[in-house]
Amino acid sequence: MGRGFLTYTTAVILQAVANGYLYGFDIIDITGVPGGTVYPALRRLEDEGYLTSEWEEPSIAQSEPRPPRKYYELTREGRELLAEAVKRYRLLEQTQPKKERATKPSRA
Amino acid sequence: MSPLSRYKRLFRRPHLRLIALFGVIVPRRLRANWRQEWEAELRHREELLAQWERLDWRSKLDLLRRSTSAFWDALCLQPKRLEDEVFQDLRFGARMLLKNKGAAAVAALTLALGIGANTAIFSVIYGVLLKSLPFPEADRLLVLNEASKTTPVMSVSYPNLRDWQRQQTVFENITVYLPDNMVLTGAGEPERIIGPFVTANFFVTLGAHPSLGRAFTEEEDKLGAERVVILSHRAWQRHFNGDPHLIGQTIQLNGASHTVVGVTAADFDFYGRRNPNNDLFLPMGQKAGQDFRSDRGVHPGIYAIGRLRPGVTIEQARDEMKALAARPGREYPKENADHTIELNPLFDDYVGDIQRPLWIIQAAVGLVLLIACANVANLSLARAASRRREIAVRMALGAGRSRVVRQLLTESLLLAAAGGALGTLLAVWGVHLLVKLNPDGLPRLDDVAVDWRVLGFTLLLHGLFALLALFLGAVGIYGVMAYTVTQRTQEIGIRLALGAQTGDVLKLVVRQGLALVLVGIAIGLAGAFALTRLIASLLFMVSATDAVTFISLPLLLAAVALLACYLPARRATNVDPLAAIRRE
Repeated sequence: MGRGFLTYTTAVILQAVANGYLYGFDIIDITGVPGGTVYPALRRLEDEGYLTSEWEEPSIAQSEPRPPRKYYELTREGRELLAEAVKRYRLLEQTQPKKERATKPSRA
Repeated sequence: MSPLSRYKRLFRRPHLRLIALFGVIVPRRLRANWRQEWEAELRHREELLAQWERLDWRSKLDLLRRSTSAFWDALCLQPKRLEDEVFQDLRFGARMLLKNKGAAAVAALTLALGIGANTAIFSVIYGVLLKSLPFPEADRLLVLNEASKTTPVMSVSYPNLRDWQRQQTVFENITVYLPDNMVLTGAGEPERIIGPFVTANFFVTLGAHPSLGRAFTEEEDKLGAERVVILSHRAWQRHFNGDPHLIGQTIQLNGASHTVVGVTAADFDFYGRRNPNNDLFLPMGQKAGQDFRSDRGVHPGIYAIGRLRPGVTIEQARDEMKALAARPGREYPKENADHTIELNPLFDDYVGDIQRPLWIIQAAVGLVLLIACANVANLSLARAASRRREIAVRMALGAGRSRVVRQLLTESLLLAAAGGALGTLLAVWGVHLLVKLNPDGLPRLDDVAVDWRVLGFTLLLHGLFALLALFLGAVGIYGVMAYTVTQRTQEIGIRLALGAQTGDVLKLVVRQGLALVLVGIAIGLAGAFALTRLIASLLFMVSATDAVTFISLPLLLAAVALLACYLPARRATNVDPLAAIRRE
């Protein structure tokens, strides 16, 4: 898929990841895009090398206790793509607040 | 855990159950991760909602709604299946076939010939024998003939027929046609144009209405009525360029003006859609000559077609008509002594005696397909032998037996598909050719075409055949044969080492090969003997057991087989005994 396929929704999702919303339901909450759209988009972006993903350590999840989460992160290509998207969709930058905390819990 | 609590557990968090369910359609290798990600998502929702103390039915519905999102997500993952085993197998199979272009092409072509021939012939059989006539409830249409001891099929005497029409109770209608011809003038060159006189109920009886204009009225069928004519679609196109304003105009037949009242439909099929003997239809009342109307001894070539009343069987009709026929015999013994009536389905009259030969041809091409399958099995067998190493490596790397079989089978399937596609092309061409050649005026051939349902059926059937043969070739015999081949090399080496002469080894291999051939020929002869009995009834000047054929052909076969055994045997004797033994 070329960059021509970068839709507004995809850009919003990228932006969310860049702003520190690193896993599925976080992204869904902040963007308001339904899960049936967010997850395929995340997976597609990952397939094309704009995102990488990592499962959280099971021990952390167990201590909470909850199912382990899958964290997403922008790659260099992903950041470039986002910059391009911001140029195209001017309002994008103002859409989401930056997350304050260092979002990814320490990885053992 | 009691069953009840388990039951409750199952329904406490239906949204999580849904995720598990939807996961089934996710490609297997992604499934675990997929379920985990979605579970995390939904449990998080659950927690949030619980924090707001709003885990009521509304929020539960919301959870359910969110879990259906997972379904769309699972659908989005379907293209990933392309990386699944099946597709890996397909890609690999295609690569293997391409690597061995020659063998693959021969195998596909062999299959294609078999499938093509079968589909072509079966299309003809379907169009000629299996498809019912293009009239509504065509099985109720019967042909009526008079018959006597000396003349088994006789055209009907007109006064007799009139009696039948009045007295019978089994037919809705009986119509009559009497072939004739006219000279058409005033439409280009004068031309002979052929077509029958028919009674007014002709089109009603068949259940086919002219597509332009109308059928004849009873008035027009009376003696001395105004002259009218109905043209066939073919004649209308040919002589009048399909002029839509022809209805109501007059044309000149035998120098007399006839008003055109109708044109038959393009698909009106009276003994063939484009039968030149049915280019026009005239009312019986216009037929010149009086003697045939009154003289019971005259059989002017009138044929009768009746449409049975609903629910009347052909046997009931036969009984009644034979009883009726006996009456003119009593009343007019001079003309009608021993006359009776024969009733036969119109369908049988259309197709004539072609049924048996067609089925025999079908059986023959069916055998051709079987032979083709056997050939392909042999080919893949030969290839399998050379792929022993590859399969061994796969097994060593952990492929299970079923996995290897599945992969070989996928390859066979590809080959069968290629053969099928090519066969379809051949079938379409074959049918075109057959229709063009129209061997021996095969009836109803105008409408024969490759029927897609027929094609589907043949492909399915023969796909199964082919697959079976391929499977046997690729997997079953492969093991046995490859094993014996290597075994033999060694055995021959030992024999040679122990002092066997080349001649001895040759004799051994050839003798064993020939034993198989002889058994084959014996079975073949028995089969041929039976089959030729059947075919003999259809062939002219060939006796069922033609001595020359039955002796020379097996001899020829034996000679070929001898050569086929001799060549490998020669190679076997060239084995270096030491090398052969060392291979242990």
